Amino acid sequence: MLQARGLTKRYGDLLAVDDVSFTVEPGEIMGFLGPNGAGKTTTILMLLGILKPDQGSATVCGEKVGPAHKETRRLIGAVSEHSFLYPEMTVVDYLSFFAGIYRVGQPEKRIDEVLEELMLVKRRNHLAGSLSKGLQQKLSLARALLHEPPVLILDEPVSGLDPHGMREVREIIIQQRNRGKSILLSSHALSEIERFADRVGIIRDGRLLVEATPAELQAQTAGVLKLEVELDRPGEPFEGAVRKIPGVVAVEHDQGRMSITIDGSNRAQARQSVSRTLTGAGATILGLREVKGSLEDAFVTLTQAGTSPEGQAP
Amino acid sequence: MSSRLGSDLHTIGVLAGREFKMTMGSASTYTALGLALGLAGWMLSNDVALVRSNGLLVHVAPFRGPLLGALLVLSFFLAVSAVLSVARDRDRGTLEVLFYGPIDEMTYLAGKLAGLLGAYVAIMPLLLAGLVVLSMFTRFEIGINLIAALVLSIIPAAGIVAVGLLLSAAAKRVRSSILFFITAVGLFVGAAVSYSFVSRIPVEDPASPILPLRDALGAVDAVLSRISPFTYLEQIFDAADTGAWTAIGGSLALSLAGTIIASLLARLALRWRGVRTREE
Amino acid sequence: MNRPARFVVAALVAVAAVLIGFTGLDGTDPADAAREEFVYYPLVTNGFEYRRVPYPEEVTTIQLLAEEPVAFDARRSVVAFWPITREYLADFAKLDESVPGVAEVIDEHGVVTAFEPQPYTLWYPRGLSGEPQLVTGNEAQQTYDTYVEEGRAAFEADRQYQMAVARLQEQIDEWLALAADGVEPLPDPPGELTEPAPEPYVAYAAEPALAPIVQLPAGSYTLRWRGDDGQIVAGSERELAVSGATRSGVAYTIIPYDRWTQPIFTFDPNESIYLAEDQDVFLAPLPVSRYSAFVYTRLLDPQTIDAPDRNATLWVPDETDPDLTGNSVQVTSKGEVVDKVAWLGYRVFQEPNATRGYYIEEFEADGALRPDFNAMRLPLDRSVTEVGLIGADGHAVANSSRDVRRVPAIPRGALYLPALAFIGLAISLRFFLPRRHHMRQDSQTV
Repeated sequence: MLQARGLTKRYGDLLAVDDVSFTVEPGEIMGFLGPNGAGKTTTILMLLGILKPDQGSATVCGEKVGPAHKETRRLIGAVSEHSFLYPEMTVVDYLSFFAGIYRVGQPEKRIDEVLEELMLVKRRNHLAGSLSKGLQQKLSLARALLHEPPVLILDEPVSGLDPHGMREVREIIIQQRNRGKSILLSSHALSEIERFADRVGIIRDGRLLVEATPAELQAQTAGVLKLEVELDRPGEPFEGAVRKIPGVVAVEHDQGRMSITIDGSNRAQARQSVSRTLTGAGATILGLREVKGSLEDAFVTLTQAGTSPEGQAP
Repeated sequence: MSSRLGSDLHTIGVLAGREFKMTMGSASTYTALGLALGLAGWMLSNDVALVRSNGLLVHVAPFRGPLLGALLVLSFFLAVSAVLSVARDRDRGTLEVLFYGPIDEMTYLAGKLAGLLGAYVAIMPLLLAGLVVLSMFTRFEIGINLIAALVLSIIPAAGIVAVGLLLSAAAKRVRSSILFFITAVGLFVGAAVSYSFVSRIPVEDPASPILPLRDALGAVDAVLSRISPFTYLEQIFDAADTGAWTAIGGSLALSLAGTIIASLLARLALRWRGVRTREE
Repeated sequence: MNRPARFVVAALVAVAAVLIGFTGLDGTDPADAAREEFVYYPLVTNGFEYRRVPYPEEVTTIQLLAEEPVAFDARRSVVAFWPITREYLADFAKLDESVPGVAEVIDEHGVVTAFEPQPYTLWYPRGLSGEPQLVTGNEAQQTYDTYVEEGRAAFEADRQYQMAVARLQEQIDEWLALAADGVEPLPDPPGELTEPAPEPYVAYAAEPALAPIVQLPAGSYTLRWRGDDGQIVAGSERELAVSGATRSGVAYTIIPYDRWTQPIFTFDPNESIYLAEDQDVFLAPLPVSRYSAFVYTRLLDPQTIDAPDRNATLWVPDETDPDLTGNSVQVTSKGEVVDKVAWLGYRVFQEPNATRGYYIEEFEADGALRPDFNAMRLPLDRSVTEVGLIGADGHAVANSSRDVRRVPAIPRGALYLPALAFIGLAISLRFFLPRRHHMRQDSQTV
């Protein structure tokens, strides 16, 4: 289990992380989302024990995490956004080195298992620096899995991978989850998170805005309505009028198709407002339908400035 | 406590092993060794030429200068390796990855120190073999005292590595670490060379301004000599000249103390600078 | 300017400031006015010569040689700082007032020893160019009296000889006059003088004087002067630093056969002698002792600026012209004695039109001729590995052995072979190592 309690970190006047608390249970994948500069990386570094929090604490399987508790890091397998490798080492040498660091029992056997799992067997004697970015990322994941830690902290684990590789890695992550590991997964690939994360936490300006399952999140953002409107002409001239409708948070158009995101609980009123506005502006509505809110929608809504989790302006 | 110490020692061993393999497998190591032996060969060739031209040469230890010169070249190489090591790890992010694991500043630096020092110890027999070949060619004697000095040079070598690691830990990037190193070397060498040069200027006029300048440079050189691990290397060779090994005990103890202090400062520097290339 | 560069600039400025600050510190104020002071004016020695050296109050330490007698003299004089030579000098021409009294020496344990004045003389048995001895006590007067007596006798002998020479010259002049006059029969010319010329008397002894004679073992002491009134004279306290030789041994003058006027010296017993394969040399041993250079240079010149390094040492001969009759150089080859070469005289014979121009042979006594040098000739045997001095008593003299090695003629480039081997290894590692080459090929296909 991975637990963060009231993690807070300041850099001078900047409050980078503000009282962040969450728990990742064994056998659970928690997605960790936030815009750039929200405090994700700082939170992860505190969870890894590389940064000391100004307040709060983190534990892994009940053991304290911090710069003074380096042994706890044996319980964590971490992959960062950038695959930092020793380019002059071969794949197997790299894994052997870390097997030594983590005191992995029967290292040769374990390395073979991991290479098999991550489909890197054919690359075992290749220099790490000669691998593609995607393969380097897989190698980093192999390193993180080598010592079979109960907790995995993965920052962009599928970065640089092709769809085939992404699926492979996703399956591995799910497999690890099924083996009872607690997995914290930070990614910009929201569709991926949506597909296999058990819970999602969204951080903005250092604060954890919400921690919920994807379904709960979508339910929380049920007030977010997305209308797909088909017009008889390009929707660009009508964008300005539609944006003025109260509750409209986003308008996209593509030729005759217009996609309108409305943050509001009164769907019927919202539909009527859109129809009235468009027809009043001279457009002919050929079709109008509601689209189910996605995680991306929830993310965009929650992380936009001036928006609260309850869908109300602060 | 003992299991934690055992765990730390194991980690240090793994880190040291990697550093050792990397150093011993690097072309630059053998280039440095070649340059060291080249310098030794050049110094000896001057003495051989003297014997040829004068018919005879009297020398207390003809290998003293060549061996000291060779060790200075190797120590310089060791210093550069140490200066680049931490900064390079930080630059390419591998330092951060290491700290995802059960590694702290002390085990990391101890591993670096042990690895580089281990490489120095491994290089010494190679150097000695080269010098033995030169001794066979010239019939110049190496002497047991110089071999003892070679062995004892490990102690100031540890100091050199520790200071190099300190500079590297304090630097943000490889470029900065090189700049720190060049500045430090410039300061030490500049002070020593200036003092040596000024001391050799014959002074016939006691009112000459050279004298107070010599005193000033001597004072600066004396202070820097206490700090510089290269000074202790020279002191070992002075002891080898006179056979006064007990007198060198105090200097070696100081050198070890300097190594410990530099290592502790390196730890602080690493903690202060952090393990990431860029702080968020 | 970024931070590292700022750091470098700051460091350079700090160093420059320190240097400028130090150059302002001189330690002496050349404007010191002359003043009346108590001045020691002892007859000090460096083991070879004795010299009177003034020690004004500003010179707080007197360096002395262990177990060598020093005659201490005390004066009052006018002392001033002389900036040209950066010394405090006593102007005895202005004021030279003797301060009678007793020298008291206090050792490290606080024990006070008083040295009363006694007679002394400087005795030069081999003339003023030779080494003097400080003779003290009753023997001083006896030595002087003997010198006066022998000097007079030698003078008289020489006078008699000169008179005999003059008489002979007269006889020769008379005979030449007879020959010139064509006198027949011409008598036999006067014969040569039968008596040999007397040896010139070169010895010298100074007239005895009175002074406390201080002779101490190595150590640190305090010196003070107790006047005739029983009080310690103000300004008389000085530190006495008495030092002995740190090591003794035998030095060798190595005289190459083909460059006999340009000898090379080996003082340090740790030194080895490296000879060209066919180099012929002579060895002239010389007993030596090692001293601290700082101390030794200040024995006769306490205010000198020379030899500031306290770690430096120098070797000094114990005597300049030792008589090593009965001594020999033992020549060893790989631990086995192969020869013993006696100490002999050698003469250099000129050989016009020859390549070298001279040859060297053992000296054979012939009238008044003397050898050009005395030495021991090293055998040309290339297997010789060590030489050492054997005393007249047949025992090896301590610290007299030297390793001897013959250096072969080798091409200069051979000395770079070990370096080239490792450079070659470096190139192989960098460019030709198979594994890396294989990996580089593989990387092109990834």
